[in-house]
Amino acid sequence: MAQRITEHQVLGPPPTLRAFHLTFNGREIPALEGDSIASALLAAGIRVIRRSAGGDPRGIYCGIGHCYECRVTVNGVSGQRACLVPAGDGMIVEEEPEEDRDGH
Amino acid sequence: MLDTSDVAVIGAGARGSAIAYYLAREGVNVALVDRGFLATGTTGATMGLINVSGKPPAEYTALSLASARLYPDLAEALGVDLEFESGQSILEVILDPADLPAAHEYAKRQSRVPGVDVRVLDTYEARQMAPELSPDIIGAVYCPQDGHLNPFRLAWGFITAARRLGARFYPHTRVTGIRTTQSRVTAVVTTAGEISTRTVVNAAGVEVPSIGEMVGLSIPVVASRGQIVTTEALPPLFPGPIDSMRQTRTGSVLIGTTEEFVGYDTGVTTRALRQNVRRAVRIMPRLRTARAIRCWAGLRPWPVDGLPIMGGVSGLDGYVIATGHSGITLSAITGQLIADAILRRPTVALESFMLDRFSEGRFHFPVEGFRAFRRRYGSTILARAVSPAGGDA
Amino acid sequence: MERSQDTVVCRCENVTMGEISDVLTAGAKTFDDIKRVTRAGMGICQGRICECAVTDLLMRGGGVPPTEISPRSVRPPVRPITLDVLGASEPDALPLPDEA
Repeated sequence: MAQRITEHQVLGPPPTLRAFHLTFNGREIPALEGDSIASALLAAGIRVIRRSAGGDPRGIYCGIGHCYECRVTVNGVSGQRACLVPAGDGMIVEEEPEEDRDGH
Repeated sequence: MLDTSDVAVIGAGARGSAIAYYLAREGVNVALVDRGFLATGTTGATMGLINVSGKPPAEYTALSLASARLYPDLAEALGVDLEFESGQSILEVILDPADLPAAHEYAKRQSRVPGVDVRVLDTYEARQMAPELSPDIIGAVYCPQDGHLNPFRLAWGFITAARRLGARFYPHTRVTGIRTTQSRVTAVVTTAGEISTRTVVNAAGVEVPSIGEMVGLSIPVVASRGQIVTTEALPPLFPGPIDSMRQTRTGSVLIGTTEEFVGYDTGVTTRALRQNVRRAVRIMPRLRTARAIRCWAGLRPWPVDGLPIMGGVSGLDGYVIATGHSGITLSAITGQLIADAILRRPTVALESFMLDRFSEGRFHFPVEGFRAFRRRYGSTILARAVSPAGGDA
Repeated sequence: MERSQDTVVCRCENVTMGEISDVLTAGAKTFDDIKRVTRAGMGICQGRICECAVTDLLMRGGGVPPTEISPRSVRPPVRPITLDVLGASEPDALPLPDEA
């Protein structure tokens, strides 16, 4: 479970940041100004972001927008990388459907 | 001495790998050579279409149909899921009402070939089959005998099965020469050593001419470049290939294509990419939000009269050619016919497809006729299906 | 965690180490060889993530000397881009060199 740093031994306490909420799969998640969707999810203890073909849990991997492992649907638009998209007030984030390798 | 074989097949693409398999299946001692590994040439850059309806003249259509019919049983024989499907392919989408009469005429003419049924669907019928099609389309040329499969699975299936049956596969091996003695092939020289053999099959795709030059043959095959772009994996959007698009088993939509006579250049151009993409989103607006992840270009071997070259050559024993475009469609039948010809079995006459047709000045049908057909239909796929090589775009 | 034949090497296409080993046994010598048989590198990240691991397997399992390793082939687009942008024809669409 990832926790937000409340007292850094060099930087001290974090500044007061605007707090808001987004939803992930209908569940309300707290977020702070400057969060990516991924960091908000991590802070809420959510690590499984989608499932691969075969049902394996997948989540944040590279964290820098290269691997597309963290892809989510944001306000109806699919394939958004949670690690790059800034969290927004009232944002609706949904898990992508499990990969379907035998669609036909 | 690298190997000794009855037959050395040069090129392990759709045709070469099939030939190796059909020969090995009959107990023939086969060596299969490729400059790459799997589907390094044309086979790895195709759309994966099984195209029966788009192949006039009648003999070519019939050959394509015979091949298409082999794939279901072949998958079982190879023990590989070729991802073969047929029955829901649209050859071409009609976007301009002015093209309808030509499409109907084409469908009628192609349907004269026994076993081939080409129809023009109206907008409603087409969208019944593929609801994601734009409501603005005028119609669609449909043929239930058309289909598609996975070209990588096809070639790898053949290679693996041939090896299981005793064939030797030499990847990353270039052919540098062919030895002949008194008008008979005796060996193939490669970068890995010599293969002693009595029969060589030139299935080298766009390199067919250079393998021909090794024995003093001038084989009139030029390269036709086709550019394709693929999207990310998408939910199932349409059941079979539509016009210039095909959705693979993993969900990617392949969008093609071009026919450019640019030599051996496999570069991609933004012009072709835009052209391909615009047609695709016009036909299927849902694709606007799909993401392209890669484009590539393949070179099709294009014999100058558009028809396959299959069979032996006069004046040189043991030299067999197997090439042409549409290799995915014709892979199975080519494997079968060439194996039969090498084993001297009674087989469908290959005369119309043999190399000698060029030297005898007897083209299968006039090149000029193709150009006229193409001028009439512009740059539609129907026109591309019959266009000859020759340099004019 | 030990690696095994079931360890996923290409996350985009779910290609395991076992599948890659089989292709190495069959004579694969390049990333491209492995890609064409297994689909490793054909997914949405186009080999960015799996290239290192596949290269390692080529060297150790395939016996390819480091000096003979060629990089995976890269083609446009550099990153995924929607078809509506790619097909755009508006005046303010990016000018493309070969359309001049």
